[in-house]
Amino acid sequence: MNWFSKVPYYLQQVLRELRDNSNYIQTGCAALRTLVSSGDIVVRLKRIHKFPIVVVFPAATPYSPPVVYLVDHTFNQEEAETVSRHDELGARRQVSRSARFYYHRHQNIDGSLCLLDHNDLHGEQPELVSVASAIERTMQWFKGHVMGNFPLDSREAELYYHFPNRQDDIQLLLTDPFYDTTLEAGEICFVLAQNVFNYHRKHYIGAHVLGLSGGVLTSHHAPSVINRLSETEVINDPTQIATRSEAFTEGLSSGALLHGFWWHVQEEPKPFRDVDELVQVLGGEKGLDRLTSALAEDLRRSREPLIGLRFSNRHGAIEWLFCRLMKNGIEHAILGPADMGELESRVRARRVLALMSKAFTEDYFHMRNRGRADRTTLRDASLAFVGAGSLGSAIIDNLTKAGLGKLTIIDKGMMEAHNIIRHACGLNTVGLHKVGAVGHDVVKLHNPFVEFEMKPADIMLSPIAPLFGHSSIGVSTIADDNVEGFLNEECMSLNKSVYYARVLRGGKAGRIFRVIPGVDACKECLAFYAQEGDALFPTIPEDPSTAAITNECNNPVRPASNADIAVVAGLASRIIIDDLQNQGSNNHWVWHTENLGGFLQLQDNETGRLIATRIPIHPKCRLCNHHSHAVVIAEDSLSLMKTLSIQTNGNETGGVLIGFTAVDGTTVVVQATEPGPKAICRPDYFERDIDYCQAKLEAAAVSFGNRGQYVGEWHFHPSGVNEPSALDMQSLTEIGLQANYATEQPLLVILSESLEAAFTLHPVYAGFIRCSHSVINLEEALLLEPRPGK
Amino acid sequence: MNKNERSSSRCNIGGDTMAKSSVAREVLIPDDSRILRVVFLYTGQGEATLLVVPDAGTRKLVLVDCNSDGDLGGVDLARMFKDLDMPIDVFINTHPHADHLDGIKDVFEVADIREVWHSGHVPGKLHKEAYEQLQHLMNEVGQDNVTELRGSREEFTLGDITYSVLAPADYVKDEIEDEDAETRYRRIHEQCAVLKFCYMSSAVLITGDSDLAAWRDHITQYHGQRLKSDVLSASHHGSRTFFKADEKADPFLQHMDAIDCSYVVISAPKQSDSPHNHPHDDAVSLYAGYVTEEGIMHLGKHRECVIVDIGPSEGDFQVRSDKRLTEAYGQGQNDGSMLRPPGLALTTLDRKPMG
Repeated sequence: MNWFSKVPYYLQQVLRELRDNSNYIQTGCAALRTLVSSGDIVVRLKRIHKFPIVVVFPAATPYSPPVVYLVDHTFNQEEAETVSRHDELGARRQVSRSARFYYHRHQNIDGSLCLLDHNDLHGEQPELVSVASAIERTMQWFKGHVMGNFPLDSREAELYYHFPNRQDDIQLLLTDPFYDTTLEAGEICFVLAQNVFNYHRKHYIGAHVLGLSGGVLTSHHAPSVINRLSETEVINDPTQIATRSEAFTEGLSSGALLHGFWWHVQEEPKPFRDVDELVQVLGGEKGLDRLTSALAEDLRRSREPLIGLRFSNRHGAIEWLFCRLMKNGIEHAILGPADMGELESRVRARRVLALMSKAFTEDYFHMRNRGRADRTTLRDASLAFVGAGSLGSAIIDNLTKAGLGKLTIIDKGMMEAHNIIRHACGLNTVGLHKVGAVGHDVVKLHNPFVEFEMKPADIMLSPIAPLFGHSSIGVSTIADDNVEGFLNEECMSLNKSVYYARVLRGGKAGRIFRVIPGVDACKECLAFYAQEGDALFPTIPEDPSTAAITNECNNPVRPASNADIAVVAGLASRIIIDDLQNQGSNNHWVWHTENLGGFLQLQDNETGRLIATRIPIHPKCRLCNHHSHAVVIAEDSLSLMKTLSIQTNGNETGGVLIGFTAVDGTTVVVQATEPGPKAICRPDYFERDIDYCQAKLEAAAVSFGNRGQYVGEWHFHPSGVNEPSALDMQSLTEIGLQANYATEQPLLVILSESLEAAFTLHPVYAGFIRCSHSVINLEEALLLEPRPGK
Repeated sequence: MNKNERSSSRCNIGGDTMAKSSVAREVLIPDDSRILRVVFLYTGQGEATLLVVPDAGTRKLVLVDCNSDGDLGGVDLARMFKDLDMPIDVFINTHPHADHLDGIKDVFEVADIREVWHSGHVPGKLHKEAYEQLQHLMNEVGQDNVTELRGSREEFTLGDITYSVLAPADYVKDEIEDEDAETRYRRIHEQCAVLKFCYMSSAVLITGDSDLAAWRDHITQYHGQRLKSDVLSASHHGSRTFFKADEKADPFLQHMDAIDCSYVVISAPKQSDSPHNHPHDDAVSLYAGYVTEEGIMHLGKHRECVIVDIGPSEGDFQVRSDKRLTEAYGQGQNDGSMLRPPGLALTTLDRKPMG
């Protein structure tokens, strides 16, 4: 049954609209097999213009919009009936034979218009394009044709599609340098992205835009994304293009590189058919000179160079059109010198094929993410993922696609065939480290703008600080209480926040919790709450039928379908993204699909629920209650620092700080040393006398025992504020990282010009924390209890 | 056009237009506030024209005449203005006959009308009820906001556009209180207000029901070359009274020569629906002689409105028809006849015995 039998009322509407629309004069209408209407669009401007069209109604009408063909004459009733005898495709082919091309954006290669786009995805019912709307849009398109001013359309409607001659087996991806407007004209170079994109079409990534900027030859290039996606080496050095190096020439010959010339043109060019029309776009006779001169070498060598035209599009944004000048039959290289006339005839004999190009900039790539997360916030974020298994890889995938700036993937495991059933990676990764599999198959392929590091390591065996690197936030999906407990303790000490996620009860529940040191209940707090049966902690009992199984290394594996893992991964990802924007007070989330008692009770009409709560620090938790950013300093030490600072005659001075971490986490300073005789003290630079300070440190260890350890550094800024400088930050980071200092959170005290002291703790890769301080006498300080093991 | 507005143009398979509350705004208010939009509203046997006037980045609304015709599918102006939810800065009444005034009271109830400009006449008994609506409106807006139109060669500013009042001139405005009903009806047409609105080198001429006497004896003589316009609103719903006293008389055409328009908009229903056979065939032929058939926009022919957009740049000018308002706010039943293009078969029964 065809559509007009299924929806007769709609058909009558259509027929009436075709007959009774003053913007369209219908000359023929038939519904033999396909509904077809022919007539003239009337465009009433300062004078009246009429344009013949044929409207073909698809078999999927009304869900598909009518297709408007621009034709070379007004079809009469008889012709409309002839077309109507065909099925939809046949009718379209038939009309297409009479197509008239206007060579403007939006006319397809078969002569139809592509302006009948859907405009709303959220109507909760099909969006139907009425005949009146189709006629109106066609009329406005013709108005644009007459006036040279088209109505604004979607940014996605690309000029390339409106060229009659195209090379479809190549797509160019335009990186950020292509949208830098400081260059005026010059050369372009694209590099083949191998083994990444669909092999049916070659994808070349924009590597270099060379041109004049204020009269100076300048090169802009996109190294990071290219390096992630291409295996070609040559592109990192633009001078190889300028000098036509051997590697460059080889790249051209092998097809690894595409090279050409580009110009900025004032306005969007109309789709052109041949070199003569291209020359007109480039400025007529002058354009021919420009083209021939630029292409001289390629023409002599019988190459097929790219031509790029940059223009300001109808939205006022930069847009590019690329074409390639292809040989028209056999063309031999010119061995001897060639005059311009010969080169001009050669260029005129070439065919012009438009190339498909797409923006591949960071902004454009992430455009579809807009709405719920601020791009800059995500780009600036750096997260460390502990665990790259089924849940971890799914969260990594989500956050990669969300556009996280940088991520570190930590996992000790290898990909096994049995992992694949619920992992983000496929069978092609079996035998690889999980971190490599996820890095290459998930992160790189899903968002090449994300920086990532792969660390195949066991966190129980490696120091956490270097594994986390610059990431101040971790995401753990290890789902092993011991590993989580260890990670929790380490990250509490390093002042790093961690989100923990796991799937429970065979996928029927999931738990996600956040630990911001000193703010949220940590893993140990939760253990206390669970032990005490406190209602604050939502207990999720083990389901004996889906108990954890273990793999060959005795690591627990919790059975769950990927469908459930994906839910928990989605929830965890959303919670992390939201928290990155605006950290909420909730720190514990439970998703459950069964009645589990307490507040994990489902209502009759509920099949699942996410409960968000806030769980405070447990009063008995040794980690949280020892997590302090306070500093206590012995009065004598502070006085010594001030005295030494006064005596420096405008130079910096300093030394080391000796003391201990008290049981409540407070850093206690019992002694500050002098700089030592070999110290380097300049107005903006200080280096302590290493031997002298080492001796002091060793003496203090003897005098004070475990209360006489290295805790940090101090120095004086004679002409500045007491903020840590970049050099200070670098040195303190190194101290935190180096095992020989035996601290992961060194203290820095800086005295300003006015001798005001600022106290900052420097946990590794986590910036610094300003600390409050109090001054007590040495005896009192030595009475404080040191933290065990520290 | 924003997304919400666009979505209102969706319809469902049953054919009902959705989200009607925004149709008025979608159709009447141009996206670009620098555009002058003149909308000739189909109101059956009558006339109403809305001007959306650019005004330094904002807009003024000017409604010229008003009609409410419940049977012929015309736009229900009160419902439309309620949805539009904007004040009408000026209501202009070209002359106080019912087909140019009816329904203004209902419009005033839903839209704040701030000023009234009128021709200053009092009609006969036949139009008393409609005239009372005008009186009520004038009382409501207050005398300070009521202006009696006087033709002159002066050009005035309204927002970013200019306008001229071409008629009625002072000297034409005789007392007609004592005339008989027919004379009074005719003299009101002779003294009907005629206004020309100009913007970006384009002009629209609104003629009300002005007749041959007005044009032959006064307007054409007095204003001559100043009549040139792109769009002419056909006087008196396409009546021949614009050209001649009766069907057989030779037409007066000097005004059409002077107006030299490209488009004629006829505010009348289908001729078969008009009690006065408007538009008259001979008048339509005369118009077509100037603007061709495609240049004549007869609102009632397909029960549609006509939109004229001028600006935002010099030379931007477009006339187009639009059905969305009549579909959303039309009164009465649409033409429901079954259309059958070749190939579209109705169900045909044959013998199907049952046991």
